[in-house]
Amino acid sequence: MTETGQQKSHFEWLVKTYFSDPSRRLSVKKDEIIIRQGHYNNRLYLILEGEFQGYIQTETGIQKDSLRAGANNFIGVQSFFSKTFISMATMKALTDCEVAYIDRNQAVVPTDFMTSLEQQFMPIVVEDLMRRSNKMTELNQERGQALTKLIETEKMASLGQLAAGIAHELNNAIAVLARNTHWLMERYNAAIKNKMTHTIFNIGLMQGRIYSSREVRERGKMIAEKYSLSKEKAILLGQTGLDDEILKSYKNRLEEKAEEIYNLWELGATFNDMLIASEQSTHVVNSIRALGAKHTARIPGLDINESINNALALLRSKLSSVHVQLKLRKVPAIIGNMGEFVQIWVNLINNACEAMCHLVNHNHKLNISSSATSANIIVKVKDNGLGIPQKSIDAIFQPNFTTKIHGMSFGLGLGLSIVKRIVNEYKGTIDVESARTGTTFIVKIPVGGENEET
Amino acid sequence: MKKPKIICIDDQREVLAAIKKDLDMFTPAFNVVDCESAAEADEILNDFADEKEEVAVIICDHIMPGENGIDFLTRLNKDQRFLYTKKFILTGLANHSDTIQAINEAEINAYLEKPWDKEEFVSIVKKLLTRFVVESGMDSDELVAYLDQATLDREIKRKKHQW
Repeated sequence: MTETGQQKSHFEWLVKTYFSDPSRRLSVKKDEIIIRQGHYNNRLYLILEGEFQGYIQTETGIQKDSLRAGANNFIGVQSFFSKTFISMATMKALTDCEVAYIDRNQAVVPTDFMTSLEQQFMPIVVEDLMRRSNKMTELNQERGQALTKLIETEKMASLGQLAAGIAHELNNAIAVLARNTHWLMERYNAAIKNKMTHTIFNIGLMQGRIYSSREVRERGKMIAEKYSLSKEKAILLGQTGLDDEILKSYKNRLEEKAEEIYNLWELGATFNDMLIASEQSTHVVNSIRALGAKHTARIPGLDINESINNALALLRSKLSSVHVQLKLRKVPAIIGNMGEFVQIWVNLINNACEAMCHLVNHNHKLNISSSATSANIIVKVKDNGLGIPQKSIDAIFQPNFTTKIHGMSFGLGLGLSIVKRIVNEYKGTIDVESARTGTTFIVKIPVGGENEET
Repeated sequence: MKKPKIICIDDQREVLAAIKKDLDMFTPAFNVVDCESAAEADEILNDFADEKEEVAVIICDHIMPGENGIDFLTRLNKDQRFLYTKKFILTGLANHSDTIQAINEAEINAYLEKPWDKEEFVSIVKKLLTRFVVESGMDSDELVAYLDQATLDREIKRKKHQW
């Protein structure tokens, strides 16, 4: 016979020998107290059915859980075997219970080896105490986890509230700037009567600053040579995206007019700067606000590829020094919210840029691809940055995880936690593969279920 | 005489354009040059050093792809070719240790946070130009409109003292 088998048969022997007297049985109703802390108890109970809770009242009046016991467990062990017959804890029935008991006057039924109750009960009681201690550890752990989660939730909620407050104030200010920029731009546009003036202003407005400072210098040299202009004037024109057709139309008056042309273009480009900046600030504010926000409107016909393109548009200036490779295959439309998806990609792309900005060779490559299986839409965002250290990889989706506080920039550490929340809400998954040569985030969004278009 | 340079470094073109607008009043006497990274600034500085052009002030962002502003200015601080060049950090955010490095290692001459106030920005640039002009021994008479009078008086006094 195995050890547990022996134990089992010993237990069965104990039950049969000591707890089968029908006159020593009790029915205990739910919430009834069978043993009271500090009171006399000379009984050892065996629970036949139901569950008991044991608790201790401290001097300061706090009630502490001390045990949970169910069928085949004993209660009253401490007062019975310590021979004080005073209980240190209160036992209350959590459900309607059936118990059997023996008391201090119980006659021993001797066996060959064991001639006292203590000897006979010891193996079972030790096991019972062990079980109790394990159960309490388990309970404590669960509570600890619940508490951590609660704190986390409260932290997020208060941060969300704070963010909503800030967002509201900022949005008002941004709205004033954005609307007035638009208004000024339209009025200015309408006020220009001259066709050429109109064209130059609008090239600045529509294109913005398409040339890097390096390209501007090169173009300046080229224009200076081509139109025999002074270096100073040529560099002004080098900044503009004006083509030869326009420049040629000024014939030999280009040197004289260069500053005027540049100023007109600069006016347009400045409006462009302001519009981009207000868009960017709105986006930042909305990202913060999305933190606490639950479900936003999800509508059919969402094209995930479009959300990727929107995200890229938002990050245009940030991506100016990054070589972006897009491989977007046709994917099925789903029910979803454009803003949420844009936010996913913006956060992932932003992180990729951060990861690559530490590269010395400045050869920044970002690969974004989308594809679909019958079950999922799969989007991969891959950078060639330095990778995520192994020790951090488990923590990256946690709120407050950031690499940016002591490094190159500043972050709230919320980006990936927001991404994960949104992806999870679509019943999707996000995985990360990272090596010293780069990191790939893989987002899978199921096509069926709640996301399916009907 | 060639115009001394004011070099602006920022990775965002919109910001560069805004900085340049605020430097407009200096352009009759100083040449404003912009670039988008520390590496590009290095190339430009090499060219200027070769052509014996003077660099009066460098206005530099801190957080940029590639080398950051304070590391760049730390390097520049050791560069014998630009002894009198004034170093000005204009940044959205620098943390505590960056700022300490900026003062101790880069020995920057001015620090301003974005978004900046034009008056304050111009006044800082004027002071820096003044110190550059006096220390490098340029003739300040024609430049008075771009300089800060109080700084000019003090710097001249200081210089006389040294002699």
